[in-house]
Amino acid sequence: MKTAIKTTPALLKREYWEHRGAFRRTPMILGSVFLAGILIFWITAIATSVHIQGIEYTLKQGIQKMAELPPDMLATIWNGVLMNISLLFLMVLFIVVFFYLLGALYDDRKDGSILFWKSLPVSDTQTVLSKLLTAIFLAPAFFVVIAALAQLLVLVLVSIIVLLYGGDPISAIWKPIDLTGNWGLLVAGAIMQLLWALPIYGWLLLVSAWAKRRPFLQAVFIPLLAAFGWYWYNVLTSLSFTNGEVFSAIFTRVGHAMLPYAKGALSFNSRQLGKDPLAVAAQMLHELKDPAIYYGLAFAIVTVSLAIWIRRYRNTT
Amino acid sequence: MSVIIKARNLGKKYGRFEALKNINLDIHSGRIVGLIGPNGAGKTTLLKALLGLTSYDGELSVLDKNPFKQRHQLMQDISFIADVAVLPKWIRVNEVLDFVESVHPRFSRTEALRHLNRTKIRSRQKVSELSKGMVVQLHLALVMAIDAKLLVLDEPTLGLDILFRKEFYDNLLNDYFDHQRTILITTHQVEEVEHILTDLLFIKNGEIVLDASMDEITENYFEVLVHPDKLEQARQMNPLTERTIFNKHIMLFRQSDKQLLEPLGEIQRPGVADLFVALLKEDQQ
Repeated sequence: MKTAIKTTPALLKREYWEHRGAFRRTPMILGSVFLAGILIFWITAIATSVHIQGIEYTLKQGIQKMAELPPDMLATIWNGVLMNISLLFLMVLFIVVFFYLLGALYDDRKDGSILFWKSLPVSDTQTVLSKLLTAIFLAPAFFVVIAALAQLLVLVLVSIIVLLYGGDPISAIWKPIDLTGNWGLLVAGAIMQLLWALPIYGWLLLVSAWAKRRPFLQAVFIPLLAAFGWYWYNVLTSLSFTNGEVFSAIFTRVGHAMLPYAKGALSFNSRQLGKDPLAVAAQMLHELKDPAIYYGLAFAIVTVSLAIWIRRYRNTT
Repeated sequence: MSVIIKARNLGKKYGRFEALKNINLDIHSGRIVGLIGPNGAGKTTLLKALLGLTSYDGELSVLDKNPFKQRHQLMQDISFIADVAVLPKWIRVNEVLDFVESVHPRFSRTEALRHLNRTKIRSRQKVSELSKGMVVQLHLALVMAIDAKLLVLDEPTLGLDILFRKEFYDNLLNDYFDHQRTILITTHQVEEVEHILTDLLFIKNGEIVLDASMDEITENYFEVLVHPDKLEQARQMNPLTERTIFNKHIMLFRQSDKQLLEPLGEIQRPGVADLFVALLKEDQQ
């Protein structure tokens, strides 16, 4: 017990050292891209003008016009901007965690360093769980904090531009927007994302522990082949052509995990993006009633246990 | 002296291939044991079983623990260098020190730094920036800073130049081995370790073909530089091997009575490599 208390932080630190780039640099680059996007937009807007309903506006006129919009509409615009920013961060987070987990129990077997890790008094259970903890806690923590910071900086940058053109950022941006509500949505989104994604994460750990080569292909094609097999099995046995349920289960799951604010997966319509962020969060949390989440968690427990078991035997690729 | 490794009918099968067959052995503490065998003889499989890296049949206890089931407890008392360059490439020297310090109760950072200060390795360097020899120095520094009861070295110096190899074994003997600890070494470069070994284990086709202390070997195996006129007489005494170097006939005998051999020529202690070759050939006949 005493060693577990010291070992777990050390294992998490280990993951951070190895994946600094993915966990810290990726969200920072993403945030910089948003800021750079605004600057580029600003620079192009200086030189050009836009036509709205046949009337030509310069940037300055546009900013002044914005102040005249009703607060409702301003709220929709700015909340929409922030929600899209956080949604994109969560999407990239899923992709980063996906590849992190695929390599988590594979890369050290490939380069032989597993023999070093296994020479230390750390159990395979501790090792595998530390990788899972990294995926569901460490990586999301970096992304959520940096995403929140990026949202803030985007608003600050836009405020500066508004100020430069004689606008009033308080009434145009900061009053109508619900920044803390957006941060709440971001955290809730990260939690719902991981609840949906846990069975995928478990599956990735399992493939990572087990694959002798090409874990990516196995992780992707085995489920697709299973779905394909199910479809054709039903076509051939009962001549029914509407057996897409395994396909749709996979796509819905990946959709939820990638875009947690979106409703369902095959229809990627974000629910009311731009309206009240807390309302979006509340709707999203409604999914906690969906039994699919709990089947998924059971599947995650099975796959992670299998990954631990395989980790005991597999020391090479 | 206590028995720290005990195997009874130890076996391991990969499908239909038997990598280890009925291994029985006792290794006592305070010994430096050389595990010698050709490629594919089962050395690595045996080490993997001892280190809890693979399942096995039969009985095996290492420091009174079942290695496969209790690997992580066992690793508090065992260190191993499984191969050259298994340290992860991305890690920095100070990070690997931090990590081992926080997970290993018997690791002394001061001790590790003492060893590292004698090298050119700097704490901010990544393993990928170190030469192969430096990686081994780093690994050895880590391992020597762990107060372990058993140290297992599997080809620890493979691919290193002679300076590093020599320094490696010198450090090991002078700074680490204290006659309480046990060291188990496998290597192809037998000549480099034979002067430090106290015991020999020869393994072939998954079976132990020789399990003896160096003292027993010097009492039972003799190499004779046979006088040209004693050749026939010598051959009748069934030498294990006979080889000719610069027209000199060298024969290896298994004979407990040294006096019988003395009339044949000059007697010397056989090299481990020659003995190994002789025993493998004998086994094949």
